[in-house]
Amino acid sequence: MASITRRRSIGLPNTGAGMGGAATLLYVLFIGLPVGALLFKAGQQESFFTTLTSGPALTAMRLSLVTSAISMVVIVLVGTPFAYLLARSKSPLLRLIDTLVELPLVMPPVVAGVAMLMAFGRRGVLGAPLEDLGITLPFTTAAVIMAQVFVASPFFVRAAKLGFQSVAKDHEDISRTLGVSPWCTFWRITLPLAAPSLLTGLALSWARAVSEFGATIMFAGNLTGKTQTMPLAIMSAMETSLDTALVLSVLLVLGSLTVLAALGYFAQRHWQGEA
Amino acid sequence: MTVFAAASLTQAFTEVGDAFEEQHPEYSIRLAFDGSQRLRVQLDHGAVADLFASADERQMDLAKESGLLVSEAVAFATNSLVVAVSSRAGAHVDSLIALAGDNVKLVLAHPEAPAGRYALAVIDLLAKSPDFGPGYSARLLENVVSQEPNVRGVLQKVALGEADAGFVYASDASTAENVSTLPLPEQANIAAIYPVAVLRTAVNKMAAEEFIQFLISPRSQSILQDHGFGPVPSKAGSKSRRLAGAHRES
Repeated sequence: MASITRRRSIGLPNTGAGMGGAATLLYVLFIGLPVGALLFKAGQQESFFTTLTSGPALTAMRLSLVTSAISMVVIVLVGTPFAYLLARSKSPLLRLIDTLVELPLVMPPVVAGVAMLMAFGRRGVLGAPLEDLGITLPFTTAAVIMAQVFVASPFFVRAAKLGFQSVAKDHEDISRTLGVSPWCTFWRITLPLAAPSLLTGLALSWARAVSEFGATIMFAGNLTGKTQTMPLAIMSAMETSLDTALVLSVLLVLGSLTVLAALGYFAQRHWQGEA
Repeated sequence: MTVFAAASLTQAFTEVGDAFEEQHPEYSIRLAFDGSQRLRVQLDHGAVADLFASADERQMDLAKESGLLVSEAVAFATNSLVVAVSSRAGAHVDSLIALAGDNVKLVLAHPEAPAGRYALAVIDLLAKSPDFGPGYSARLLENVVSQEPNVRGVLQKVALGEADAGFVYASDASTAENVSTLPLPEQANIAAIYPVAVLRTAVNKMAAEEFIQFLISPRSQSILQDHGFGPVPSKAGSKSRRLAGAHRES
């Protein structure tokens, strides 16, 4: 018996490690090569630093950062209570609403943009009455934020819901029996325990919001300083000069990597602190 | 055969393609429509096609500089600009002067797209006219809320009513509902020249040349004119000289 187990334990892990190693290499090459090529080719540009610090590039970067930050605030403020309700409630209505969360994920971004025009456009279902009140949404920075919130919210809500579900209700119940208010329980027990999932969801959501293109160009349009986010600026640069587009792409990739790394660092620290 | 054609040629070239296939059943035409500048960039980066039909000579010149062409380009149609106005804005945007007014939302094509470049040239010409005054172009440009990747994007935003008005080709105006047009004075309008050329990546260069011959034939010309395009330009007209001057400066 013992020798059979030993033989088995030698055979399978080796093949498994081989397959895993090959798959890892393939994946790293496939994702790494285009990104590496982008950095390499952009770095070859003589005008790299002048383009990087030029007006349009910085304007687009600032717009992307500001709009995505506001989008995140909206998504977290509305998404957190929503996700908590989805996690705890057993109501059939909320089961139905749960499926709505995933909907923006399966809509092509341009379709999402068209849908937002149909709802909030000047002839839209809600947009037409708003227009009469003097409020126009398309072609505004607000429209950029709306488009980002629409496409990026599923990432946060899903992760937050799973995070809250993983917090055993027992912890909350015990806290309540000790006389702690529901709000305090949520803030000091549930939230810290769910925090790693929330932060991961936030990171994914932010990444999606920053890279949003289709819905933005359809609903918000393309105008420097007002609605031209980094992805739109890169597209516009592609029409004129590939070199500018390369440099802008590098700016976006490096900027995003920095933010994601920072979020990851805080998530790790938090997790280790609570463990 | 694959033809990369300017967005403004969408309806016209579909019909021309069908007519060509009727006459030459051994060929089948595949059409790809987008802003001429985007098509040229794609060709630069290895896209494969047999023919390139651009909405201006500048994109064709850039294609030539990149070594994409096998032979000289041939002009096959002309076009001019017109201002498309959405039906809901028709009441208060009723003249070219109104375009520079308050609270008007204008859409142009991207400056690199032929339609965008032409629009800026027209706005410049209008500003030089005594009827409009020097502040006109600045105020009009302030009203621009978006720069679309191609002229069809401009038309779409106007047709949807999201924008009040936009500069499109005369040939585009008839393709959309909910849109009325403001004509441009002849002295401020441009003559867009559409060249077509055979590409180095063409699989069958003879067949591509046949398509070009068909394009300048009476049958194809009448299809193009039905769609609002102008005839093959005569040699060195005064308008094309003005346009050539404009694009040399850009």
